[in-house]
Amino acid sequence: MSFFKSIYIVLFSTTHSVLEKSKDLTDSELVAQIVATNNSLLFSTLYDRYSKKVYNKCYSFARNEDEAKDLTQDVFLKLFIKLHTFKGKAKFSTWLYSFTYNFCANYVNRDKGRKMSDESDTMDNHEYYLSHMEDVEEETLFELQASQLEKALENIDPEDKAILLLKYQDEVSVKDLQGLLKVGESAVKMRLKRARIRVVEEHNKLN
Amino acid sequence: MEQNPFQEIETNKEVPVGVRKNVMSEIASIGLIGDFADLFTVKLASTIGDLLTSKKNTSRTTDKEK
Repeated sequence: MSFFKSIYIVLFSTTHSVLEKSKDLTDSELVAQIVATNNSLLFSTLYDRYSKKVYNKCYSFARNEDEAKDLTQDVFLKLFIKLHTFKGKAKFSTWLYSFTYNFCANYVNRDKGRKMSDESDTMDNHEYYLSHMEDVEEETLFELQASQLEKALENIDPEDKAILLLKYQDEVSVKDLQGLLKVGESAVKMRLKRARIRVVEEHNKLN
Repeated sequence: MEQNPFQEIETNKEVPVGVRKNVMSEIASIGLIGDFADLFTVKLASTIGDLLTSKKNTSRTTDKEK
């Protein structure tokens, strides 16, 4: 009996010390260790740091607590598998928020029968079309009522919603957005412009 | 300071109880499957490889001794 007790004490103290040590690590150090060891205990520290943020971001796309809960679980499972793709070019939190939005956008689009329309190329996606549209100033965007903005965001494409939330809620710079979206500066600015125009259009429709 | 409606709409809800447990048990399962796959593919193959090469070497040395 005392043998099992000793094993339990050794295991418990090892687990406890791993958890205590992982709390002092930076996000990047923690991620590097998880990738190297596949240690689920270390991953639990990462979960504790970001679960609330991720849950609330999922909630903004799901609009229902059960869906948000399922989405959060799926995001963390996919995160565990895809963690090695984090190269440290942006802050881990920024990368994780982008990862979460991407997952949520795919979830929202999953059964919209959008395959055909996604393949087709519409006029309003083109730079020359957007260049004729008047851009929306950030001041105008910030003058929108929060409750109306929430509704307008629900009516635009989830990809546009994601880029707006990254820029204006998580305050991600254009440079970091370039790395996250793997596109050039002008493409990021064009996507932001398109998303701003669309959200203001939707907002105006609500009034 | 200018108000930012994007930050106003950010919710601050607590994560429901049980999510952590589910995530951790799923991750433990993924780890276990990964370990088994590693055991039966990479490690088993390299063990068999090592066994065959060491057998070859042993038979060569015994031939020389004869």
